[in-house]
Amino acid sequence: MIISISVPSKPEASDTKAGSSVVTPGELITDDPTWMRGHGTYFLNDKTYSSVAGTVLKVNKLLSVVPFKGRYSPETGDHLVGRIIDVGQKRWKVDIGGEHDAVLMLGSVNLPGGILRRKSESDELQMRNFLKEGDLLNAEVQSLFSDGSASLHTRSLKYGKLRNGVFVAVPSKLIVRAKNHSHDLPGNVSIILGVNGYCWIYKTPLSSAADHSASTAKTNAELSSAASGNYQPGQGSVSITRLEQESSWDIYSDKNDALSASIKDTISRYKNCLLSLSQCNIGINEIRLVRAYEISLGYGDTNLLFREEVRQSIGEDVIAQEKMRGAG
Amino acid sequence: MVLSTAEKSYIYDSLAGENSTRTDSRKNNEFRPLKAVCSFVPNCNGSSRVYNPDGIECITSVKAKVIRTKELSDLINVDVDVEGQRDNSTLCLSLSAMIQRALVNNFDFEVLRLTDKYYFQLYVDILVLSVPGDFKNSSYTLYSLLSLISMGTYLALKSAKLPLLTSTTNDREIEEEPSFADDWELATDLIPAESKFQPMLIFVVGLVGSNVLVDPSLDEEEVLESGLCIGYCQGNIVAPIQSVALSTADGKAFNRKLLTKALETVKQIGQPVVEALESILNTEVDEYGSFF
Amino acid sequence: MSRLELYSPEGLRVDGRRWNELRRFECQINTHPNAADGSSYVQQGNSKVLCLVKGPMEHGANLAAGTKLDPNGPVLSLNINYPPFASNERKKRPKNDRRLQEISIILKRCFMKTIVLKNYSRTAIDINLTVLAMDGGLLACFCNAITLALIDAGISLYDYVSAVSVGLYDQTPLLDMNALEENDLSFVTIGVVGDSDKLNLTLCEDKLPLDKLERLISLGIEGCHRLKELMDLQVRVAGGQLQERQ
Repeated sequence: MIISISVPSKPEASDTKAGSSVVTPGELITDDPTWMRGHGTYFLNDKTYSSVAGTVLKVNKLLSVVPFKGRYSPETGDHLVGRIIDVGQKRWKVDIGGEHDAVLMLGSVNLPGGILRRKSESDELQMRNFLKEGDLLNAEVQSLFSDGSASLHTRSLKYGKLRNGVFVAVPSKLIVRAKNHSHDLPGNVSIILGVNGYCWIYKTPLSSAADHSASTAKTNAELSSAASGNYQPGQGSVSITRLEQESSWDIYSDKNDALSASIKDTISRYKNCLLSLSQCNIGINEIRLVRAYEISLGYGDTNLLFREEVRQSIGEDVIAQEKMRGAG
Repeated sequence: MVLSTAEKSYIYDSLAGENSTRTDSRKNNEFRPLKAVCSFVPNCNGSSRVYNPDGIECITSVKAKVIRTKELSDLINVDVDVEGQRDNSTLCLSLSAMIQRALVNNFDFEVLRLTDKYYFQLYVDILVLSVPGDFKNSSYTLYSLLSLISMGTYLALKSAKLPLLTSTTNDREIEEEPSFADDWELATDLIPAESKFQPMLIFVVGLVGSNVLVDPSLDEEEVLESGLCIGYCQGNIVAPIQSVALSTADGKAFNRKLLTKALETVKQIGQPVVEALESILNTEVDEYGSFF
Repeated sequence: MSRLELYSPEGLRVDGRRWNELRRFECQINTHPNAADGSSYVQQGNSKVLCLVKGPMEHGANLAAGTKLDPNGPVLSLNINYPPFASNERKKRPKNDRRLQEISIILKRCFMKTIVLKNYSRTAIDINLTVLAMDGGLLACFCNAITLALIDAGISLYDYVSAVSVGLYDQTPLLDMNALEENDLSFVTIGVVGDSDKLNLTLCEDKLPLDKLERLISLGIEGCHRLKELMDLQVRVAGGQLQERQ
């Protein structure tokens, strides 16, 4: 099919399960002054009103309204994917899809030559060699400024510049917060589900697969050497030596690894699955994504998956499966 | 959208190869799903709204006016307005000029003739409602809008209705202004169903490696080597055939074999596109409903 | 040309309404989810207006270069598209049309009082209005469309602002005027805060007998409350559709 043009359809006014917990701006939520007032509310004459359209959320004594839609607002510890939009004095500006751009300080990144070295003036001059406009990275929110904007850091091996994959943006509301936001998926593909809705699907790096076996081998060797009593200094501190190895210029490389056609096909299949879930307004986590992927395999060729109706039906199937499993 | 070097090379490698994989896994000759509706602006003769999944939306209106003229090229006026761009920006002016020239060159002016002296003059006003938010800082040029605009124009022209002429068509001797029936129920189509004439369409294709990509998406535009816009009218390739820079990032010269391949491709996709547009025209719309 | 009878002795207006009746009001939100943070479509009679809101964000596309962001609140920028086909007679309006600029200043002032400013320090909010068809009530349509689009974008507001125009025919106030009535009668446009009877916006550009003003405004407020109800209903419906499926 070369082209599909359709008349935009209004979503049918489905069973508005919008119960009493849905509020709209200016609506009185409570006149009990003991509640603490969180986001999405305002306070006037001892009464708490909603300032957005959304659902009321009560946690302990904190009352807030979660809007139906809205930009991502960062919280400390969030794992994000962001895009550099500006290189400035000792800092990068990063687009994270929020109200404000995030800041990444030169001091908050690992630089080639190991993390333990000091930042020098020459580092400042060659900031563009590390990260330049357009570059994608994954990072963690280190702290928040008073206006709600975030300061990021990439001081861990799991953070840094992104390569070997594709970028997908979905509404941040749909990403289900979890302990871990980077997952290895079936098909030798990994994903970072940024809390801000920016996602990165990429080929599972060789090292992470190899690492497991290597580290077990190492511990075995260590055990045996410890048993034989030949202790050598620095033996136990694997992490630092590894950090130094990996903090070479490679971590800022722009070059992709050789990617086979089948890996690329799997990556675009996952991309389409992610977009299917987003199109159907389904909260996104690893389990659902894998399930959508398995369902999509039943639809055949990857290049059918861009179609709206196919995406819709993948989403419906995920929900249906979940209901079945829940019942069973 | 500014892409990172790694993303660009990933996309480029995927597109340029023998078996290209597009960013949304379409085939090379497939369009993204479009949405369209016509006749939704009450005080125009014809109107249409077309948008693509990137959120780029194009609203087109056709208004007709009775004038007395001999100069046929005066009969069609096109005005493109892009949100956030000044009226006299290069983009607006060049899009208007291209569409106008293409329409005038491939128009059946018989359908505009009222009497021996009087003609309908058409004003085609095109409003591009939203452009990508980072358009100003990006390298794409938005010339790919041509394709969307021409589909919008096609729909607006084909859906246009004109009041029924009640006075005589022969006014060579008698000095008389044309008069029309008051009843809109009697209105006739600007382009009658029995007429073979179809407004022209412009397709934008991207060239990369040895491949021709139909309807390139924004992230694809960033890595394309070159772009072409090609006119299509009633089964034939027509002017303009023009190379356009879809992105200012890194343009390259292209192999002349690709030109033939592109023309071939457009010839193939033309008919299905026309059929899809016709099916939109045949969809009943509720005149009083809301369309959004 | 014979003067149109705007209000017949039987109490009917040109379009068949009574003096206190609104035109058919339709609205939608989240109409352009891929193009903007918030979007809305408002139809009052034959007037149709679209509104797209982008932001809050740090880079306003409409911001003039060098505009400083305000640490105390957002910088609102308002852009009105009045395409040539929107009015009955095709008429091209320049981007810097005086009348439209005036209207945009009035609207900006009104919404700076409505948005919870302190939540949006150092940000820009771009509001783009597009007129698709105009048959009176320009300012009122704009105001209603902006309210809905801001709500859709998840921007904190103290309350709804709903607006309507009220005119005076001889001794009779007429609610929600269409273009024919607007041409011949003097009228006032008011914007009301939520369910209260507080006015957030008033614009009267014609001569009006002052002793009638009170009646006009109380009729307008009634109309606004009805509009707010309709808008609120739509927001709740759209909210139900947006709610994440578990």
